[in-house]
Amino acid sequence: MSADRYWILLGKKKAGEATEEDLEELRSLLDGRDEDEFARDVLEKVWIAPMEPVPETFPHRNVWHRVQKSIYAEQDRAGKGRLLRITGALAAAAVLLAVIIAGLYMSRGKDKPTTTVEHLLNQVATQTGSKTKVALPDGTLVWLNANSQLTYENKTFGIEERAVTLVGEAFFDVTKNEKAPFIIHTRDMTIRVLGTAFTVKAYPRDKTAETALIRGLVEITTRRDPERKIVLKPNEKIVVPVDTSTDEGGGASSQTHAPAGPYSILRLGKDSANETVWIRNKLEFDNLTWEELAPKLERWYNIHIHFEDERIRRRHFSGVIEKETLTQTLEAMRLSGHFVYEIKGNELWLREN
Amino acid sequence: MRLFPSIDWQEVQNRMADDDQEALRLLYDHYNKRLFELAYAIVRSKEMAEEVVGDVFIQVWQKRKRIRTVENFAFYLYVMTRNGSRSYLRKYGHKKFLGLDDPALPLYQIDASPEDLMISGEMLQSINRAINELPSQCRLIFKLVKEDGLKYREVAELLHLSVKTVENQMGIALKKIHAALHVYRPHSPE
Repeated sequence: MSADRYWILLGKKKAGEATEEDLEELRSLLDGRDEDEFARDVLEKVWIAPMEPVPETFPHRNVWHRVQKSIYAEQDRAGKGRLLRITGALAAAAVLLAVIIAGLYMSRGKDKPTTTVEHLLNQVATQTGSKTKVALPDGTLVWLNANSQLTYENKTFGIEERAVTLVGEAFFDVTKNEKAPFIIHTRDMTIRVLGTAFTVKAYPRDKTAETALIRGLVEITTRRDPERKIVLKPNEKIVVPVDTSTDEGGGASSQTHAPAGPYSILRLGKDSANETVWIRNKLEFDNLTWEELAPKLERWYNIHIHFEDERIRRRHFSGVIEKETLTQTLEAMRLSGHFVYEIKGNELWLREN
Repeated sequence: MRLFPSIDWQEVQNRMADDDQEALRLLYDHYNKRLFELAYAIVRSKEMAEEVVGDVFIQVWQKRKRIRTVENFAFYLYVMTRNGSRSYLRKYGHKKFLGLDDPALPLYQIDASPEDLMISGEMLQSINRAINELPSQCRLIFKLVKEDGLKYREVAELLHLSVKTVENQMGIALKKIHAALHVYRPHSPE
């Protein structure tokens, strides 16, 4: 066994694990043995040479993109860094996993946005033309669009799982908790969140139900085929025809039968922000330079910004835009910064005063 | 003489703690595949393994201030990956930890030219073949010690083995690689 002992000791020596006794023992084993200097030398070089997986054993996608998005989201939440903070939560939501679900529309009639606490059920509902934002007990944030309702059981939420039922449209930013998966039930789909955060949005009266994923991993089962688990990858959208055959009396949707084909998975375009555009009703910026702010305003107002001199790029601004027109915004900004502007169609020129 | 450059990980940790995103990218480029292979061997799904690995880097960034003082960064990353993988498996794999999936573990090659090593191309091939003919667990242990600089006790903890097993497996790996050298021995010049 001394030959094997020799290799064990040599391994320890190379790995820096050998004790004084080990080294002593190694020397004694080498004693009287013809030392093979060539082999020792090559082994030494092999030991310090890098070792890489054979390329073909590793076909796999690049996850850097996702890591990077998460960093940006963090910067946005922190409200510092170079990126525009739209609103902390919104920015996070926009770059995290976005899921759009179109559920079956259910009329809520004349209710105002309300939160009704019953024995077991917690329900948040909105009416036409109103949106609301709620925080669930686990810290998950939900933006509920018009004509939508979100229900969850007060007592069981978060114990083994975090289950909510959605009718309508919502955008979620889910708090990570691997011990209690987040599950969204809609009439035609059940979405199980495997990743970290997501948003949900639903369009009432639609003929199809949709889930679009911007980041993360979700697993979907449809009512039509509950056995089948569909894993949705980032930048994919699943469209499921609404099953109207067993409509519990939604009324509105029963007139228009969706094509009864199977679900389809679509790739999202470059601008996945379209999937979440409805919650963007506010633009906040905190101590940004014109240079940093310009791309945001360009998107917000659909304009192109030109700087006629360089100094203006470094001027800082803070503010919140909601319904202001471009001119109103610029006039407000002029109060704190000395610049002049000129608008021609979709083009905006700026220079120092 | 140093044949190959090595990365000063403490410096990378410091740079990350100072919010340097380039440092995270460096870490990612170096460890992405390495962590993926462990995750994949545990969860056996490429999508899940990618999620696990993505989560590791995201967590590293979130914890970058505290990570500055982590002593063995490689071990830290591997443990995060192992834990993340098991957690995914428990939650979404609907199955228990099955041990490492041998066929899922990758093959390796020495990433240097015969000239770098001052040996013949045939000998380098012979070495690579010897590495890949090692039992996959043995190969993984060899890689973790040699390539990632993990301590025996760290490898033992990571893979739930005894330190004795790690010692033995390392001995086997060196013996086999050494044997491959003998096959292609050059003629003695003297």
